[in-house]
Amino acid sequence: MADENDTPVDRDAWRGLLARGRDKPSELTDARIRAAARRAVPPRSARWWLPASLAASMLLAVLVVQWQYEARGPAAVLLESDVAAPAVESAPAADAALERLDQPAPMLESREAPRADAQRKSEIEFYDLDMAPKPLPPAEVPPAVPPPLIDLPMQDSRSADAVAPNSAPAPAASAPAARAAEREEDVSEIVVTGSRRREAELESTTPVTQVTGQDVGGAALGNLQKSREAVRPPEEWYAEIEKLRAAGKTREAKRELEKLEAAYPGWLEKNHPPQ
Amino acid sequence: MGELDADAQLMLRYAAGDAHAFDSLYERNRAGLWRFIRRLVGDPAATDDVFQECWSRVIGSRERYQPTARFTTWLYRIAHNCCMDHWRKSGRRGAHETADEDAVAAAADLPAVEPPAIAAADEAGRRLAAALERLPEEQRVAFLLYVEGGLSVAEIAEQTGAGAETAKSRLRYAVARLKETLGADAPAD
Repeated sequence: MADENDTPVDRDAWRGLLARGRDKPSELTDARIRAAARRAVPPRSARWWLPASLAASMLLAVLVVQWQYEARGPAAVLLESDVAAPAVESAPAADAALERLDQPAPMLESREAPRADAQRKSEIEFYDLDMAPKPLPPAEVPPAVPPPLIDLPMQDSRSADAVAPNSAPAPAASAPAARAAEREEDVSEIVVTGSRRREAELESTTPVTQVTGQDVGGAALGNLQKSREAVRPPEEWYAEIEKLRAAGKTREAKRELEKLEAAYPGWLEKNHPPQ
Repeated sequence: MGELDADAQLMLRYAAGDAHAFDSLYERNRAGLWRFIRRLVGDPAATDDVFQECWSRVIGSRERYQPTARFTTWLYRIAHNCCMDHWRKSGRRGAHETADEDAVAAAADLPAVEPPAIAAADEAGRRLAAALERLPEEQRVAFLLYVEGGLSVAEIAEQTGAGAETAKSRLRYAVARLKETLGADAPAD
């Protein structure tokens, strides 16, 4: 057989002749080399085990955090909003705040839920019995009237007592009026979230997220009056108006007449035509 | 290089992390590489060291391995380099070192040395091993790289740093000397 460079050497024949000898590496040498080769290459199982264990650890951490979050509730979020949201007492922001009253405030409810139930209950009694700006005694209020503040958010709870003395007529308002005024001042300072450390930022342009007790109470009483007027019988209503007239409160009587006409259109003209 | 030879594929698999591929690769090449080193180094203990060093370099360079040539070409180049490193460290070259290709005739007059490791080999193999021992180192290297390693004459020239004609001449002289020693037992070309 000729070589590529015309060197007449038969490789295979010479190799076969060389291989006749029993010269070969020892088994110990073989074992050492094979072991070194295996050490140099990590086992395949370790190759997938490492990233898999990392992924499992990450998943476990996420699950634990999620579980703790669900167990504790969103308190952390509440605290965040407490710090970030300033209280608003200025009148121009009152309209915006009243609009927000219709929106639920779940974070506050969740934090003060135990106290909120008791406050809400006493609030309902408070409005029904004492503080509503109505000329009629509380007993005359039809029982069918739904609790007016039952749908109000938690922010209303602390502010209601501050609003009522301000808007309701105070028949005997000497010492109670002073106390009410004092309470009003206190309540007006109380922000719903109770965060006072950011009072310096009240005038900032931060979006309004809280309202004072005055704002809340005014809106609540308005809703209460509307609901009561809507269900009051016109005869009874008209009798009250006559009483107002008799007492010389013509302005209030006129206002009530307008409300009666708005609530029962045509009833006045039909039953009490103008003379 | 076209299609990869089986050894190159095994080496790539080993580089990719398949330890079993190395077992196959080692099994296919261990005997030939051992003989190559044994014929060049001579001493069995030194052969073992050089043999392990050679495979250690193969293992260490697995990620840099590029199958630009046959795997055995790459492997025997490493082995030859390991042998030269051994010679440098030990401060001596092969037992019958001569740089002159014309010393083949002089080498033939040296007394035959029977390596104990091949005492049990058959007669032809034993005589071949003895004849290789008496060859000048350059001729022995050229012959072993050509026969055991499968390198071409050009590759032998590149590996040994000699010219192509010199490498070809060394190989021719080696074969002639071995045929002369073996007589009728020499492979027919």
